[in-house]
Amino acid sequence: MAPLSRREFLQWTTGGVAAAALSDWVFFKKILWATPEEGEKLFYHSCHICDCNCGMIYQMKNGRIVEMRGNPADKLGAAGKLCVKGYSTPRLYHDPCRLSHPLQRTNPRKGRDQDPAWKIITWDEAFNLVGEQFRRAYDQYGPESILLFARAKPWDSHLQYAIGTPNQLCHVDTCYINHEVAGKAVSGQRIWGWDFSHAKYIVGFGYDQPGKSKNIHQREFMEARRNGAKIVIFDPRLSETAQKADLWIPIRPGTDLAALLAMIHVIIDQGLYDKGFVEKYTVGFDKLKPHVAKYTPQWAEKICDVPAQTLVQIAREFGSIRPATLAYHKRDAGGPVFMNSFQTAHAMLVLQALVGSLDRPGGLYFSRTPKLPSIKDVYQLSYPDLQGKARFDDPENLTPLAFKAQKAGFSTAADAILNDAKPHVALFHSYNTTSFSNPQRFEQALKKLDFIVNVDMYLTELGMYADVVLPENLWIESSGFTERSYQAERPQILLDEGAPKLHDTKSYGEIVNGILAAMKLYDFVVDPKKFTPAQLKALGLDKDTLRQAGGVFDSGEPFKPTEQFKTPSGKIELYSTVLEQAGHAPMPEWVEPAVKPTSEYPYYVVTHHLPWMRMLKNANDPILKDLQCENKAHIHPSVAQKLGVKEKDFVWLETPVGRIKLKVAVTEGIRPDTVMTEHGFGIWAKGRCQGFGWGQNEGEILPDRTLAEMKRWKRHAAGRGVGICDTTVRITKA
Amino acid sequence: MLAPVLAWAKTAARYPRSADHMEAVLELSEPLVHWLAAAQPLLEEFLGWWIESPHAALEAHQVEYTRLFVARWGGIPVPLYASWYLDRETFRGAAAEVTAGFYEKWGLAWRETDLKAPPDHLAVELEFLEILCRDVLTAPREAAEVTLSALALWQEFRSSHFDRWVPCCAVAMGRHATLPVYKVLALTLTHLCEEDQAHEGHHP
Repeated sequence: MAPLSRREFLQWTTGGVAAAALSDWVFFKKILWATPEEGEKLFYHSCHICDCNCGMIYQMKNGRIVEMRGNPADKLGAAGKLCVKGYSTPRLYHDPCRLSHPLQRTNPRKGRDQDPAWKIITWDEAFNLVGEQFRRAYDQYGPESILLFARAKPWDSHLQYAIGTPNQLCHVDTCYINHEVAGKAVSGQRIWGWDFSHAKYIVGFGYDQPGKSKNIHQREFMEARRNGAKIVIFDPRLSETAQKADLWIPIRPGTDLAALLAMIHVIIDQGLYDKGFVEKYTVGFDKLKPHVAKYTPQWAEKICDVPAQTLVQIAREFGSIRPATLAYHKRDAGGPVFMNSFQTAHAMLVLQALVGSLDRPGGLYFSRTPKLPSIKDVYQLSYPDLQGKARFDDPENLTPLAFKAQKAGFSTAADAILNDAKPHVALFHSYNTTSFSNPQRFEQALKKLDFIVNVDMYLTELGMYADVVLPENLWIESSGFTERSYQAERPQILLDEGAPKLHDTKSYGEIVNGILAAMKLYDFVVDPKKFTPAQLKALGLDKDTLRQAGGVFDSGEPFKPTEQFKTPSGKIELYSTVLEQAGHAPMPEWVEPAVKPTSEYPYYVVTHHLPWMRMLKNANDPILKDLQCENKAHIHPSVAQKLGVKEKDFVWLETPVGRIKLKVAVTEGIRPDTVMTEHGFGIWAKGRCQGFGWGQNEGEILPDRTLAEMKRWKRHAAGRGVGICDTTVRITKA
Repeated sequence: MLAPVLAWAKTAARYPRSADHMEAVLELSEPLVHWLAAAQPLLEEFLGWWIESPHAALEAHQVEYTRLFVARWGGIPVPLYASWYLDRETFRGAAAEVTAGFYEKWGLAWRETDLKAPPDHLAVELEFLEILCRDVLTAPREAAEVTLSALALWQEFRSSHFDRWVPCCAVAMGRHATLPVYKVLALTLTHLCEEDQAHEGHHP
């Protein structure tokens, strides 16, 4: 390049057309009269950091959130109190690291060591890029070549149905899938409520929702405590919930199923079950009774390391003190923790039915959500028929019930992508590689895809593999309403009044319709703004009415226990015909977890969510960072002595999948054969400036599953749960 | 003298959306090189690149702008708004509210653009200073809640707000910028703040 002369340079710099066009006022307009100082404005919203959806009230002043508190009108939810996670909302709103504009990758190389070299693009450019790539895949390889990693929420499902792909993959393999599938198969519905406050006896298996600061659970649980309920917690570690229990039983990891089967055995054998309930509301008792005869407490003792006498005592109390309930939710022992956990979830439901507290006061119950029109109803759409379109990750129909619930896919996603030629492009909505166990393998799968679009609020680890990143509104910037689903003993909805958007972001409804328009699927492009009013109208409501009611619509309907269950028999099926027809075990049966300790990998591993962390949703909160910015290896003193380590020394945790280095925390509150570490750490995507570098992602030592493994587990893993802790570890001094 | 410099800096502090924008950065730079001689070789380097390969140069500037100021694989090294520096690394913090108060004093209201630059964004503040410089006579002072002279407002804005964060921003920009335009922007901001300090009472 020849150097320029001063004259040439000045010729270029004398203020031409472009300069004139850009020289006007860009950022200002004149005001003709002084505006009065803006007062504080009050808005209602529900918290979307976790699914408790606690009602909140916040105040805005001059574009800033200046105060936030719980909504006292939300009686079923927060009842005026927010948890620590909810209070992080104003900091998330004003977080400088949030995504602010659509971004396009300019570096085609992908990997943890690659800078994507983003550039800002307009929304039109972004939609065109996504639309072009998705349409090409749609035309050349068919709709099933498009993978959608998203929850089954209205706009996610609209995108799926409009495209006509069966391949929507959801995180629930690592969350509540077992409970969902077991609940629907055995009782016809998902169990999503719990009435601890009226229970007199509560037993939990790995249950630690209060320890995760799940607001509604916490409130209910502490009310039970105050009301004098006896509480028993089975858990390999002394969790926060176990600390508040009357009895902590440090059960061997992966063996909760044996304890449950033994309890069922004792309750039936000693005639302690609720005969009236069993007779009127269940079928299959005649098959269950001989089936559990072999599961004696003495048999269970050898497996789960709990004295037979203790199991007998707990079973007797559980069968004779009414109402008794299981503390139950998501990633407890019936969650996708071990490969036998579906059987655990199934056994929990059977036990609950035997004591007559399934969908009854003082027990577990189904959510009573309002009947709302769907997107299909509101816009009168006719979607392509998905019947008979096979999913790419289920060639032999391994877990039909999990897929029917539209809530499966993560456990085998990497294996299926790496070994199948069908997937070409993918959209990820608020999912991250850290949502997966064995993310190293999943990242290899991501490199195989032709094009990835990521919709999120932050530049996450997943975003580092994306070709286009679309910034979504922070939930508090979105308007509409939220259906209460947790703890909904009666229909309730909460008003969502969005705060002003701070960045060039869009709602997911707008994003979905932008993509569909760019794909030229015009029959399914709708105005998302009409959806909320239409849904509210169906309930005889509008936003003003909700506002006048303090941001909460509470139907006030009295709780009506279910008389007719949505199963083939209309009753709770202790012998499940639904599971049987799908090729799964119709009654809970003992099966060993996938892995047992060996001389090479001698320890079990369990995980925990910290109360102030919602996975990585609020990981960029600088105040929460101060509470604990790393996860630790929690080990028993005898293990520390054996390893020659003390508090704050470093150790390596190693499994066949990978290894991570953690600081030691020595505690009596864990079994000597088990190590615990916290989930929600190990951010390597530097886009989240606060959270970057905290601790290690324990997912890097946890397994994902192959389709071949799932096939072997078909009888027992009906939920397709990943068995996230079904591995063993070696601990060495670092 | 200062108004064209501010106009250039404002333009450089905005996202280079198009070739027109890049042309404007060049076209507006003539007064700048008289005011800041160190800018000339860097701008010449940029011009040479622009003539040779405008498409590549535009994309490189878009990537650089995004990397420095908006979203980056290594965290954002140079946020371009005051709240980051004055309000413990927040976006639209109290500093944004403060700037809106200054604008109102001169009868101006901040207007949201397509890229949603906040009221305390560097480009917005530079435009405000440019307006004070350029538009003293025509600004609708009579409608402002509090009438101040342009000089008094300039000095107050600079000392109580602008000069409290822009020097830090300029240092970070100088350290992380790899392209000439942003190196020049860093030099310009530093020179602007230093010049005012050196000439106490200097006015536009």
